[in-house]
Amino acid sequence: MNIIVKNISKTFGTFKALDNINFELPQNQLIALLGPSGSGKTTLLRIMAGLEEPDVDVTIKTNNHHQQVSFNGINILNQPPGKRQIGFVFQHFALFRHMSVFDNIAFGLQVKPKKLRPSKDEIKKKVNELLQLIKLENMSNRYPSTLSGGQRQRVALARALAIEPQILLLDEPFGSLDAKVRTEMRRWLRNLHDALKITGILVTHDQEEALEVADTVIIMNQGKIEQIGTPNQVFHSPASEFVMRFLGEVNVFQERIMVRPHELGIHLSPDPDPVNTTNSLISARITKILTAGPFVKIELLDNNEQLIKVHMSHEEYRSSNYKPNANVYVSVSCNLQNSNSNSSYH
Amino acid sequence: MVKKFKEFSAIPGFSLTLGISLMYLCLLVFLPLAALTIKASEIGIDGFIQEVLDARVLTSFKLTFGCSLLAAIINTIFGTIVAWFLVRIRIPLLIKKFLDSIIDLPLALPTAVSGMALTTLYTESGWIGKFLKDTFNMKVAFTPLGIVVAMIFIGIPFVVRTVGPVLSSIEDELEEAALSLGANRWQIFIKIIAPTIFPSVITGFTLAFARALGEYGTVIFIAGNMPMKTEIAALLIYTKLEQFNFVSATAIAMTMLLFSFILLLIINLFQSWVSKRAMGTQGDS
Repeated sequence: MNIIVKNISKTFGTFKALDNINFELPQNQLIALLGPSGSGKTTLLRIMAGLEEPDVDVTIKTNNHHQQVSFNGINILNQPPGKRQIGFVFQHFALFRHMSVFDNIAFGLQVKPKKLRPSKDEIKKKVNELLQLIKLENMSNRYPSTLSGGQRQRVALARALAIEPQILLLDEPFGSLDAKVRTEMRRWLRNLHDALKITGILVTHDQEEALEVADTVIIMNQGKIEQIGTPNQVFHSPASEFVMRFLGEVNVFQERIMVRPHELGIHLSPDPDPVNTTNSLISARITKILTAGPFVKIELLDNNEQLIKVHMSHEEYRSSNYKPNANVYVSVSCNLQNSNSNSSYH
Repeated sequence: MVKKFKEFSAIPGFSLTLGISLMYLCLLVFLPLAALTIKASEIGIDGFIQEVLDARVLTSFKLTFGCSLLAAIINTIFGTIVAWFLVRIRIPLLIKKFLDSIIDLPLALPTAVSGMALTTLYTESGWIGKFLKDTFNMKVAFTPLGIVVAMIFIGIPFVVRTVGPVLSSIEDELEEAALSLGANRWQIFIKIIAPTIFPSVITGFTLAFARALGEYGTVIFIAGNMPMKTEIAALLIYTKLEQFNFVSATAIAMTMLLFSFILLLIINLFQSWVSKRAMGTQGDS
């Protein structure tokens, strides 16, 4: 009962969008495909949905099992999109403008062949259930143009769920929503997934979204998978410099040691406490202090005019007396010293 | 929803464009029409009705409206197919532009040229005319069928040019969504594409129909112009003018104008209703 993707490559002209993608993950998870634009994550999703065909490797064509996209042990790579039992949700919703919310959600049921099509009453019951699920019960007669962005995306999701897919593919589903709606939708999607236990793959370029919502994160870069792991694993034990840089801000010392801003401390004197003495302190000058936000961001320049970013709690900031232009000393926080090999990539 | 005559708008030039639009319409459309009405009113209502109910005039009306309708319907069907081909099928740009220019040609061609060309083709000795005569024993030139052919020729660009842009503006995502929901090609066309392009198809139909109603040059070459048989209204008006029967000519023209206007108005109202449905903007609450 796994999702298996094996030997999938895709070339557009001379551009290698996907370079031999392989992974196997358990079902009923919410998986995030995370990467910068052009990393191939959407292409991979579209190949899984059958909206794009992978490159055919002539040398391995004879072996059926060599190249595959499988759910539940069934290779769906050669099936047309409509037969794959996949719910696809588009970034720009792709709702049918000329159809009411009801008709949009019912579409997948109404286009089924006569023998398989549910009766009118069954369709109505099913759509009403979905409307309840997306909390738009009173809007079944509305048209997409009269809905807000968040509502539209929920209708698109209900439409995809109507055909009872075995897997839900979401292509930057919240990308065109504003920040506040996006966080609400994120939480809503997570709750929905917990309630329905459906396998979902979510494409996003927003690391915060991926880390917050997913069970497993697949980080992609330039058509290749950089790392697969839980949000904790990828954030705290990044497998490559790219992952480290992509998942948050980093400071680079001596061109190879990477430390996250919240792992650094600032001291007013060069000899703050005995524990830290083994650690070399970097003398630097504070250039900017940003206090508006959940934590305080301090920017400093070291003697080589290199930028150092430090994040600390408001509490810590208030207890000290940091001023712009003050000369201070930066060190790796003592409580993170021991786990340093974990938290930074060398 | 009640809208004020002039709401605040960030788009400048409301007064200026309103003034120019009204003056333009007055000088170029209303004024000539008013002159026509005044001229026609000289004979009074009874005289007017008598002129219009003349058998020859009635036949020409039936012929004109009937042929125009038929030509517009045929153009709507085939024009949509041509637009589909030009937009959807991947062909080299050069060939596409070449085809595009051919579609536009009927707009630019002097009507006498197209009329003569069509007549040459469709007479019993012409390429197509001979073929139709030999295989189906069908006569096209100098029959109402010839009139329809001429009207199809001049109307085709209107349908292709109105449907094409709308067809190319349909997002791929809509079809992909329908595809992944299990719809087949035919269902996608009927349920997604057709409702979206329908308003533009009607607009194309209206334009092709209106163009056919007013066509004179192309038709008179191929029609043969036999009174009570293949004489269109526009030609009858011209004949009356040649006989210095101005009042009769304006009466026919007035009737023609009135019916054309009513028909176009109805189609346009229908079009805007359909358009609202296609955009999903009806029933806003």
